[in-house]
Amino acid sequence: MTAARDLRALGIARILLGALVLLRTTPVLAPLHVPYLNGASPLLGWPTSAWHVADAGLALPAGVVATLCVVRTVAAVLFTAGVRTRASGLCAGVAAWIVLAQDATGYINTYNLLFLGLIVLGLSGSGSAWALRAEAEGDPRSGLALARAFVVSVYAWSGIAKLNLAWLRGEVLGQLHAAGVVRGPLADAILASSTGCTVAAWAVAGAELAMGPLLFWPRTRRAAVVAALAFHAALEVSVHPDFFGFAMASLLLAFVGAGSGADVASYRRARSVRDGIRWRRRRSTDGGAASAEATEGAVQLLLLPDAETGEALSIVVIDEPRLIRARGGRRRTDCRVRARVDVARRRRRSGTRRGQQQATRDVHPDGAVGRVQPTVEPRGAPAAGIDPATVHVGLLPHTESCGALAAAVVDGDVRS
Amino acid sequence: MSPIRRLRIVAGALVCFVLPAGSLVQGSGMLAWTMYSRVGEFKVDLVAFDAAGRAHLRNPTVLAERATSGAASLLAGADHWRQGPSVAALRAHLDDLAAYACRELGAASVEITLRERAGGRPERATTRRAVCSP
Repeated sequence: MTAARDLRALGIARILLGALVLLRTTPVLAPLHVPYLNGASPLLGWPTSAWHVADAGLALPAGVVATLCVVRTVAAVLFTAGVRTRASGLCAGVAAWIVLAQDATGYINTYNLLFLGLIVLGLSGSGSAWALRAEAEGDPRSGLALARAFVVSVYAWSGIAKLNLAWLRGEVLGQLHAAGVVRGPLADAILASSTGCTVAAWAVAGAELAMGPLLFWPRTRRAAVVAALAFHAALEVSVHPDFFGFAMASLLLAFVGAGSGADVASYRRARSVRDGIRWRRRRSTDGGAASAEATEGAVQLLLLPDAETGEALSIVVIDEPRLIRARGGRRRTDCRVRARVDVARRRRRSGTRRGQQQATRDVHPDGAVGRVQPTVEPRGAPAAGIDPATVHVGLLPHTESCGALAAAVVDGDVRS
Repeated sequence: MSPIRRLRIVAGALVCFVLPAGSLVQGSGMLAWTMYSRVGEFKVDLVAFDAAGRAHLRNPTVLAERATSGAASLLAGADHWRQGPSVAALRAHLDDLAAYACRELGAASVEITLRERAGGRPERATTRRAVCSP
């Protein structure tokens, strides 16, 4: 799995969540006569003469509230389509919250999830994939972490809230069932007895508390996603919690890509170098660095030493920066396609040559290893300190989102 | 640390911790994902006083008629104990409700008491009184 794949998953999550927001806040579903959607016409939160109280002293004139409803809708459309996603997500979320605050008694958890989800996904880099106007994402790992943390926090807080005696004794579920809030064949079967209520209460609280760790741990992630979806499906059948389950299902896509994000730091460094080929040689034995650069064309190559192993770290970026990173025995690419990576070893500290040990591997992100032949010769000027005859850059066609993929071969040492 | 990473850390702290924890500390728990974790009962006592000071017990359902759906769902049938979601918002805005009742009932003054009970805990009563302007 790769960062690109993670971003694609976030892109899909963005589309789904944006669509849910639009369905929930506009009269699109009015023909279905769903009771809880009655307030969505002409737009959710549209000012009326009905008595209401604003939360936190945020009472606004009706004209302003109506404008915010329109702004929220337009921004949600742009967010869903992937146009200026960060700005539109933030704008839609904030506008939605201000409108919601006009009626303090109208708050429900579904709104909270949908509107915070707009902000979280907007800021998480979800606009870099499946978007009409994709935004460059320079730090996919932090974006992914934000989206995942949000999902996990929902489960965690919900689980923590259930750590009370009334819930754990099954009394709450029993009362909810008796009141018809929890209903349906599944609920009737499980909650028919007090024992069933108690068991179900512990199971729900345990599941919510365990969900976060299980989602974060790569080995259990997929199973946790499936379990979470099943959990929300069961809730939809028995509790009918508005759009909450659908929104959570959308946000759970943040765990589907499952990329490592290990290349993020290098990716960000590479992004700072935009125009032309930049051959950068750095040497470091104690964390310091010296560099030599040359720029031309549209390909960037960064050679960075690994302070721990002394091995060269190569980063290649082409136009719309795409990255290959080679580091010691761990080689990854941000594309799903195979990447050719080459490592030139050098002797640590002294920097003197000790023969050359070059490894060339083609690494598939899923672990399969094969070979990829460069298809394009390098262009641009050589870097100072690196013999151009020893450096070859191959451009490989990308298969999905990367646009282009480069492989760098350093046919020699990285000299000090 | 890049600006976008800083922004994400701040946003994450806000949505994942500050908002939920803040709402718990504030008492409502509205932003703390507490859905269905507790069930409580509440009722609303609405008393209107005429100019002579005589008390008239009124059904709070009359206030639901011209309220938003969120408020109406809390007020309808609230003359007797009923289960419902958190009434923290209603409790926090009982003054506003009393003022609204003044307008709706044409009384000289209004007294509203929100009673809550949950899980064997002692009943909690919050009372607000509003003198209605003529």
